[in-house]
Amino acid sequence: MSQSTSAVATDTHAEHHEELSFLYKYILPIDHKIIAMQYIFTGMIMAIVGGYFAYAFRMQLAFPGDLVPLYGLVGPGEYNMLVTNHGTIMIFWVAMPVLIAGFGNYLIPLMIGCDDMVFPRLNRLSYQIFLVSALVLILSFFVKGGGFGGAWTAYPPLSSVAEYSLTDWGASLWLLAVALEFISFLLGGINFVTTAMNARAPGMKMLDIPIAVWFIVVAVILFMASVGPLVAGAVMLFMDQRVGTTFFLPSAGGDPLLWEHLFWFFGHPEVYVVLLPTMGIVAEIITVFSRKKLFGYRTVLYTAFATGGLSFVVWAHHQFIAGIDPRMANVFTVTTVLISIPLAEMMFSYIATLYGGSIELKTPMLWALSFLAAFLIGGVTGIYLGASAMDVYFHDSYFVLAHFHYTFFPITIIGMFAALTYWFPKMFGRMMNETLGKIHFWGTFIPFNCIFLPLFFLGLAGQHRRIYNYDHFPDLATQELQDIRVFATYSLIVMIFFQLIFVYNFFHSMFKGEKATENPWKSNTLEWTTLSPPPHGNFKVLPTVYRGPYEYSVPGRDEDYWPQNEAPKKS
Amino acid sequence: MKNISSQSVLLTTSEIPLYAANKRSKPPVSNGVIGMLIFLVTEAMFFAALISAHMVIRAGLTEWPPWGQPRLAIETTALNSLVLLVSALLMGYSRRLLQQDKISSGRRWFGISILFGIFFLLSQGYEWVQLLEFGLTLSSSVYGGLFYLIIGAHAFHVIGALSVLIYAWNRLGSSKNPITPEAVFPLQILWYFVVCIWPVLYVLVYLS
Amino acid sequence: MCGMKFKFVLQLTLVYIFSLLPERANACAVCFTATEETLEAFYATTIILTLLPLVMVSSIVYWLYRKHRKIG
Repeated sequence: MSQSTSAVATDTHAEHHEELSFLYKYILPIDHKIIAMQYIFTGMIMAIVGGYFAYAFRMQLAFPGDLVPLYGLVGPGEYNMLVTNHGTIMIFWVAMPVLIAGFGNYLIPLMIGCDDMVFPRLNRLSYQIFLVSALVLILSFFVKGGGFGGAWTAYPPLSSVAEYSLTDWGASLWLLAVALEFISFLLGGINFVTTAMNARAPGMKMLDIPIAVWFIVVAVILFMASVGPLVAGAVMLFMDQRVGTTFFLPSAGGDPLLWEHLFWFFGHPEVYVVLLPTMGIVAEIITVFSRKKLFGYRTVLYTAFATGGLSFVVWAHHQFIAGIDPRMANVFTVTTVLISIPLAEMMFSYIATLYGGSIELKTPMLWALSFLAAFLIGGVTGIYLGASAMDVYFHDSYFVLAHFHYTFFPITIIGMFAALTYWFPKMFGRMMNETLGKIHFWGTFIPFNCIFLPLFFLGLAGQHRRIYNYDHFPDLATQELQDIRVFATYSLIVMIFFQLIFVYNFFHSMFKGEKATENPWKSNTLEWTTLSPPPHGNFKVLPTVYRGPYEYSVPGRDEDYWPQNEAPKKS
Repeated sequence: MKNISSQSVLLTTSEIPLYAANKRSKPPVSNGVIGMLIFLVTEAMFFAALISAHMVIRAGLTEWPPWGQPRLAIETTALNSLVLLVSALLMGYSRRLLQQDKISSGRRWFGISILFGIFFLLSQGYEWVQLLEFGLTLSSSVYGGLFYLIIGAHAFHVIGALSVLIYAWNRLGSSKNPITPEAVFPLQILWYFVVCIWPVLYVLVYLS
Repeated sequence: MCGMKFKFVLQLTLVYIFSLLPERANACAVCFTATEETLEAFYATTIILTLLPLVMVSSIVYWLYRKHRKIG
């Protein structure tokens, strides 16, 4: 576009951001904030489904064979379907849409100071495909044979042969839903990277971009570079199921290990894809609530790059006992242990940020701090599993299960609550209730530990995953182990009850909460310089940036914060 | 002003380029090109996975192609490949003309390049018909499955790329709703990718 | 006393010798099916899949960086 048209463009721009009908504002929006809300709310509804599934199978494990209240009887096939779809939903339909698509959409344009994503229609299409994928997944629960039960990793030939899985159409629809979901995030990802690259506010240099935006961009690049093999694998598996090819069928020349390669080539970077946005959100929160500059902005950024690079060379540690060459296992043990170095450095930077700060324990800060504590446990237990010699014994035990719940629960649930409580004033223009927020925090964090810490001990006692009833295994059906299972299940029920407080707080505050000012947390980043909630088009005057995002408690200033767009005083 | 859109055809952007709104400097690489490059990273990984699948399954079988399966038409396809490569060269030539603002001659060579692509597609389709007659189907063996998977995935990309190119070609010179040459560059990059991945697949599937 | 030391050295030597023959120290139950060709194919594809994204992403980033440097 030539320069002469830009003046006209600015005029039509203002006009363009005027009245929109309800249909175009809320159902078919191109505004990134509304699309972000759509993602977040869809993700939260799916989280309820995933949590309900967790409740049903935990009840079966605690009281095998009994009728589960509000669900019914959980048979072996039903149990497999519940755990499979619990995992699938929580990772692909909760963590990804809320943390990356939802908060990515909401934060990137606001934090870099532009009025919308560069490809708004692509953005809308992305959500629509995502919605279809969620509906296809839900549909798969109701077809003949029930939902897919071959675990979220879908190893063939169990997943590819209908006589083995007993879920002919459930398996295919599950696969279709996953593939659609990837296409949706592919479109979203193109948007995120291009926006962050080309639409930054004037004056915002690469190292003035807030860590949250940087980390979402790095995560998206990881996703884009790793998702291709899984899409290819999904196409092949789908053809195996429906067309009669034999790519993964060893009896007819295929190789089932190939699927594991293609799946985990995506599957392990995926862990960092969901981790990095939460890490970025936590970085924003701890700097604001400790009123201190982020310790080592560059270090944190470079550790994210290092994590991203290394995440492509660790994936075979999921297959140490699947039949890969033991010489290759040695290499992957080394790389797996290596990747903990940048992550540990990131954690140390965050802790150093807290050191000596004036910490305010508001609800978002509690969530951010609990994320650091809980993720630490998840990370440290990961080092045990990364060593191939130990993994041979821990593999597919509840130790693995507890390990990845100690990573995924902090990332997904704690990260989501941290972000929601922190940006709630900006999203809805009202404050959340602090007291209820703190009750909800403690009512979630304590039961979370009560659920998953005991599972480490169950795993070390030899309890295998994916068994619907331990009564059939005399070694595992002892009273002590059963007591631990019952305790974990009760803790889950307590945690679910405390979520009702959050739901009440969320909706009550949305309509009746105290009105929020533009910048209630006294933060520096650009999204807090506009109205709460931001109008269509985000900023009245698009901002100009003069400094980095973490200038807190700068000596010689009256306020302890220094917004990025505040023009320096001429002396 | 509203009629001339500099945005890419695939990647429709907001009516207003953001950099214009606040006297922002124009970014050195356009939105469409960055978006397309990121998309192509994913595409390259998709094909890398198909190539990996071929290598792994091929290594597991002692006889390749398996007994009773027809041989592929190596020579005809080599000729086809040449046509496809020429198409990419013509596309590059038309791009240079478009960059020099010679819209009409650039558009002509653009169209000829598309015609070469269509010839490749039809010729490959004819080969498929013959192979099906000889008994090579998706489920006849893992060999046939891999052939139709990999070549079919490429064919889908050729069809997709050609349809957006034809759409862009149509809008490039039309009087009603024209687009600038800048808008078609990302699509031309897509075409280079589709062409450049073909020799790799040809060597892998036909010659190995 | 001396015997114990000898035993220890012998054990150490044996462990060392076995560590030079990793296929003998093969602990996994399912590793015996694959042929050498399949293992090599898995090696090759692992290297391709691992390095390709790193090479592509870093070259694009470098290219963008140079374009930005040229503008100033």
